Amino acid sequence: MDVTVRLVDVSAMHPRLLWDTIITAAAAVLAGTQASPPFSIPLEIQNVPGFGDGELRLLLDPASVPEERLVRVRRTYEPSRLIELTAIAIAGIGLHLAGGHEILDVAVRGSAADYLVDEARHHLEIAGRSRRSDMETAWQQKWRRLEDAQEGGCYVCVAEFESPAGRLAFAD
Amino acid sequence: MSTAPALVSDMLVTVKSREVQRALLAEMRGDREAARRHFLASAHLELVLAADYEQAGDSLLSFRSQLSAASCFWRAGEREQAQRQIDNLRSAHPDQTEAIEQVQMELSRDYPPSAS
Repeated sequence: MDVTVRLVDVSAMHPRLLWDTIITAAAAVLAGTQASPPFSIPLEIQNVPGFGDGELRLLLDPASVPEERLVRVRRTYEPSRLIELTAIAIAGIGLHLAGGHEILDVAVRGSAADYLVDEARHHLEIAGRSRRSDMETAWQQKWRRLEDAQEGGCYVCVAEFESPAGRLAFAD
Repeated sequence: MSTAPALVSDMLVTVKSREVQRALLAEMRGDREAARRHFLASAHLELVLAADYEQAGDSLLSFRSQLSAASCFWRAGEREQAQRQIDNLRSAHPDQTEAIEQVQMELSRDYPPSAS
């Protein structure tokens, strides 16, 4: 299923968090890897509550992100950081579209998670990779880490920006 | 009709989350002074939240906020204060030893003394 989303709308999907830098980073990374907007990213969804299994093809519209902010974010953050921030945007959009989930908070360091989702405070781990070949390794690492520290349901979202492609899954 | 104020302010929780994000973004761009400032703000807000959660009868969220406060103090470079907080938590929550040890291990690994 194709879904067109404006990148700026992620801040309304998860209003408790700050999104300006993340949105700008995503616009910068996607503009650097795809010819023209909307930027397409197939997102595989696995076992996500309220959605189940399936695929969403995200068509991301960077409208409203000014060019000077793209230039500034590219100057300020290393490429690996920009990729990491872009993966956070993909996770946020995916969680909202697949079941209306909301990221509520940043997780405590050492809890094996990056963010907490919904009132249930499910753990969410996110990884971004620039190369397609690194995606499976990142996926396995994130799952192992969450399984070791499992306290209930958890989400993992990994995205790579060479193909590009992403995967978002939930496990009880 | 009485309208009792919520014991835990939603706005405070949001501000705290955003301060942690601002600290993390500052770390990412190598701005150590900004990271320290925002981690300190986060730590103090977590302490306020911990007390509010306790008053609201939610011990688990209170514990999480105290642990997060320790983590934020540590990342702000206030290691002694962080360590005191961790030691107090260890005494008060023996059932949470594993979670506390995990946080302490990651902080020691990722923020060694020489890094401050």
